Amino acid sequence: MWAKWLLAGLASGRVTTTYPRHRERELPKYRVHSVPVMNRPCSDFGCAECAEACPTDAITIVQERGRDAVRLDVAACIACGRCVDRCPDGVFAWPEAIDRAEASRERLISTEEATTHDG
Amino acid sequence: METVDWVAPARLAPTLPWQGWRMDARRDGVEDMVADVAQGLVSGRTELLYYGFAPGDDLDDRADREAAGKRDRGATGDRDAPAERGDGRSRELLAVTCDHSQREVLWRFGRCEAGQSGFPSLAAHFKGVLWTEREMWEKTGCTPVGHPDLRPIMHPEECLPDPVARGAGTFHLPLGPVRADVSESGFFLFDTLGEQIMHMQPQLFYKHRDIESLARGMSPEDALLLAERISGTSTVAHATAFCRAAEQALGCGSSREIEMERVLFGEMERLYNHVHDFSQLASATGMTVAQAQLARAKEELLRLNAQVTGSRYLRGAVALGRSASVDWAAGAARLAAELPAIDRRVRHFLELLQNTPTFVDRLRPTGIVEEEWAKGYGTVGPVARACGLAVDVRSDCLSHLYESTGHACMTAEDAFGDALSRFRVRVREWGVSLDIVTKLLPLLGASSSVDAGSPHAAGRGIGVAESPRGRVGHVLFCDGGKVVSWGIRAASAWNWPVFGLATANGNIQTDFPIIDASFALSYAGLDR
Repeated sequence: MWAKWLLAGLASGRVTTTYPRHRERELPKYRVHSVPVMNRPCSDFGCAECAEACPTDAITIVQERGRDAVRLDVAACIACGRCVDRCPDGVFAWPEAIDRAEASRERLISTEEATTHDG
Repeated sequence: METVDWVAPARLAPTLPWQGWRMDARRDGVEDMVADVAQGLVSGRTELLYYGFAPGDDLDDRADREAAGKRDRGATGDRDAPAERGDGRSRELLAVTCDHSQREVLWRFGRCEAGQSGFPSLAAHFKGVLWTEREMWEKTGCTPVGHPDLRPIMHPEECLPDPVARGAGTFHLPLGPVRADVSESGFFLFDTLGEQIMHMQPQLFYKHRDIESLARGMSPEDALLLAERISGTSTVAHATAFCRAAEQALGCGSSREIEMERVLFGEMERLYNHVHDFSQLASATGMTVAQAQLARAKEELLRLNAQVTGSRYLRGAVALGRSASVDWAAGAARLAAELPAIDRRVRHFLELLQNTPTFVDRLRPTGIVEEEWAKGYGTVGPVARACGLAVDVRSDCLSHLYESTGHACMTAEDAFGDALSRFRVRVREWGVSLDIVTKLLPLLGASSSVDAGSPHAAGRGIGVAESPRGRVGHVLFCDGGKVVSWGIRAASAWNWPVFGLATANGNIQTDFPIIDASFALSYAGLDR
């Protein structure tokens, strides 16, 4: 019995993923949108196009450690995509995977420095 | 804000969706207005698109109103009535009716006298607005005089329905508000005698968001985002009806290319909703293979939606005054390539279901809606069409938008008004929707936008669309390019009041999942 299970397991190979080393990038494949991520620093805080476009005020320009920073509160985001479309710098992008889970409300708020990597 | 006379004819611009229709407005005393509207509705000459208060009455601050409502209920300790708030404001009732034979949409304003704390009830004559007037009463404290069933409706945490049936052997079964699956919150109170359901009262409004008030002062572009989120499974229908109302209010109108895309998105929405309803009915009758296969088809349709528009539920597809940001060369090719295979599989399982006696027997005669009820309550969508009533805005009001594709209103052949008739109406509509999509695909591609209109214009507009559940109506008042007042009438708002009747009469407890699935009601649409 055990040998049968072992052989069946070996034959089927690895069926689980190696997350988080390998992230399943399913979203671009199906063009499904989730809440945007900030994937590069903003070069012109005077522009504030993103903050003006955001219908739920999820994006604001704040002072962080003595300098301007873009603050994104994904709990307030409705994934309308206006920031992705309108930012001339390309700061915002659609994510490639849905794998964000946080234990506290505060951790859903991120600033540009904290999210220079994807997601 | 200065007072705007909304009845003035200049406040209404003719737009493409209403091509060939006459739009008129009238202001009367509230008694005359209610009597006239009731007479038109009871005789079947007119159809009610929207009913509520006109702007200018209910524009006090939302927080103040809620605080006042809480104070009133707290002070009196009375769970039956919000206290009268005779605030001396003059109120105006609004009923938007349409007359198909005359091709006329009439905005009826009914002025209440200053200080008058009541108005004659329309629900006393037309049951379709029973719940609407309860809501109006609770929001404003203005009493619909003569309303046959005046009870609070909007605060289930404070007031739930009381059982009706009493006596030896009767049993009261509360169900909800927490439901299985991803169903929204709703409470059902069953009065049963053994297995027999004698009476059933649904209670909604557990997740009332007051979307209409949230939009006040917003630009129509921002309010469109709210419209898309009224009910996730009717995103396109609500967005389309809202855009049509906003384009009329702003005086910008739309173009044939824009409307053609809206028609296509509307049918794509109907396809995935109908196949979901088939799957739910298969689940309710224990047909697990059909349920799984039809659920798979729904998932394929959702992925197809995402591949074409970027959103599984078609959010962002309908835009105000312009075409969708869709690459139609790729999108149309993908739809044309994938839809036939999905269609073949869905039809195969629908055929099998219709030839399975245990499936058909469970649906007939379950959850019957009598034709008289359907007319009396103004039901819409597949629920009305299953009773043989040809109620469909696609053929009633918007037929010229379907000139290039054709559209036939699908009523049930047997018109029994039961779960099987509703199922068969949806089966027929599946074919019609697919046909419209197929014919539209080669016609798409030309991008179009219209002039945004005067940014400071004051105007009103009415927009309608046929959602998978029936007619959706939006009424919008704009001033200075901002939303002043917004009224939403979801399809399910017409069908919910008749649901209790359909569940109670001659059905048993185990019929409920089938009736529930066959009505396919939206909670969020009514709660909004």
